[in-house]
Amino acid sequence: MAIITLKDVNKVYRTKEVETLALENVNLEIQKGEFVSIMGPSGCGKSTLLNIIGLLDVPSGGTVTIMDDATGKMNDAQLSHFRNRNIGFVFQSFHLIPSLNVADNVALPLAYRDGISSKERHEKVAEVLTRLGLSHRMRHFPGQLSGGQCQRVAIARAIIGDPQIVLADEPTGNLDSKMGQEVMDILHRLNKEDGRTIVMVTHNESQARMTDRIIRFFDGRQVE
Amino acid sequence: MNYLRQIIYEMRHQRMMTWVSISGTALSMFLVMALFMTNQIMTVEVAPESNRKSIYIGQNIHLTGGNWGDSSGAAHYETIKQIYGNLKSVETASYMSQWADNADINVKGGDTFTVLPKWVDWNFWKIYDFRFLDGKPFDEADCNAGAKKIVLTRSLARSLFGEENVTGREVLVDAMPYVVAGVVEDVSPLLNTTFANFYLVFTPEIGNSGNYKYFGNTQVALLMKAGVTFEELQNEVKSRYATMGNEVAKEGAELVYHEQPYSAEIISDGGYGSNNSPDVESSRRGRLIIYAILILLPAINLSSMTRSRLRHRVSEIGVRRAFGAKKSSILGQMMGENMIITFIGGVIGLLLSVLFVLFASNLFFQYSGGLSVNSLDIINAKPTFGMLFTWENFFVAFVLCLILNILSATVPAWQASRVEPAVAIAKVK
Repeated sequence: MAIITLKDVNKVYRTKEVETLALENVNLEIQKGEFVSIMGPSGCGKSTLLNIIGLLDVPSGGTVTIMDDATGKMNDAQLSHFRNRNIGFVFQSFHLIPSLNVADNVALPLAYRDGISSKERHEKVAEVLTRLGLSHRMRHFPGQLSGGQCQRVAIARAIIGDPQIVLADEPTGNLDSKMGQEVMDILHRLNKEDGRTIVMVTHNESQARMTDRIIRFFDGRQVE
Repeated sequence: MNYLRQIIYEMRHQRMMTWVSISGTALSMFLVMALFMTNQIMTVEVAPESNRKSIYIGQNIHLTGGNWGDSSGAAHYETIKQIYGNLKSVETASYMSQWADNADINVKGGDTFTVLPKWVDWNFWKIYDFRFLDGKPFDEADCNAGAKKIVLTRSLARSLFGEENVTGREVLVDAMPYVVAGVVEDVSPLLNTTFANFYLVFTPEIGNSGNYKYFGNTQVALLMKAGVTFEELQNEVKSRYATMGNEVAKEGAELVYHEQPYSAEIISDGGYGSNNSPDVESSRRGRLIIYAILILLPAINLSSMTRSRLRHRVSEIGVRRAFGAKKSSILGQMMGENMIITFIGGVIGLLLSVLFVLFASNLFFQYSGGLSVNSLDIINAKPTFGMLFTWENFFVAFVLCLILNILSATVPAWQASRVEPAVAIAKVK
């Protein structure tokens, strides 16, 4: 059963002088519970694709259906709500908010969700951080953590809202191999144990080979 | 989400911009509030003028034509009584001198002080709440008899006798003996209807000073009945003016009406003469324009500071948007955060303005009443804390903070909320 479906998706970036085709007629189906890697050289459109799947960007043409919802007609508020409920993000540079401590960073998606008490939020944060082995770092700020710890905090933030889809954009790109492996192990656990669908952009062939499927891109086109 | 904690963090980590923002806000608030308070003090209700909003002052007349040419000035007692006596809208009317020259006062063999007297009737002590430290005010019988009684202010009593319990003792006013009826707390010269250094019994003779038929030295304070509007009072006065105008017309002259009676604001504003009407609206407009300029200029500068501060947080805004923040949530958060910085600046500005008005009041409230000889404690009109720490001032400061926040933060916060999440995240990547 497809959880993500892209049909004839194009993305064109226009400036006054030039038009750049970032994605060209992308047709893609990702099944529920699948762990998919997207690979390709820099500038081939991987991150653009991930942004479109994550509803952070809109395609210039084609349709994006996620969990049977056609997202093309959603307004900004509906897109925000949809992302909040169904999609978690892990970024290469972690993108933790430096002014918030670990607990507040992790709780961020819950801040935009109605009906969650502060006690409930606190319990969820504790539960997720315990699972990722960071419960002792709750009150630390991102600047006081190692790269691996930052990425684990970012993963905690991505899953605290219990989304079905996790999008990871080069999650190990800024980590050494040992920490990178730790992060990959966590992502595999989230996929196997929780059944979450994971779409990961990576340059690392060996990490990609460990996922269910590799989708390759070149010059905005899907080549495999 | 603990926004306050985050704001404190941001303030600590963007120290320069935070301090410039707070200082700019404080300076703006300081200027506006100092100006506002100097104006507001002129009408604030404070003892003994605790019910200024219910008291209107009838004074001055203006005659043209006939033998009078173009004459205006303080009025004769009978004229004031004819216009303002027994009005239906008025609960109590107090007749008093409109102006006075300084007088020499001393105790036999003691130092002489040249200070300001005021002649007042018995109702003066009823409609204004003077605090008597000793003795009591003079009554109707004293006034009818033209009693040589005097009420001293605390400073003057101390200067003359070295103490305040001096009821029954004798003083000389311009070499004439008077008996002390009582001693009252000092009155701020900012309260221009009640201020004097000592008070003597008002009689029609005092009020008719000069004997120019319609002109003299009388003004009247009218305490309105509860529930009566100023318009009702003014209509009654207009009607009296019309009646008196008919009498004056027999002499070939015209009695010109100048919007009397006057409120405390008009009296304090002072932008009128005996031969023209006060234009309080124009004074208000002028003040509003100055306030607007004092708010708008720093708001433009603060707006750039806010934009600069938010530019450092593009990544955060992108992340928040990715995890479900709506544009309105970002707008609200940024406005709220800026509001806290504005409030901090606002409180500092308010405190500075209070201190400035209190301690640099000589710049604003020079009193030219002539206390140069053997000066007393009060030379300049110093406002008190009670005059400055009013709910009205706090409310105005709060509203100004809101306006400043809206002016300085709306555009940058709106722009920040419109940043596309993918672009915001990619920028930092």
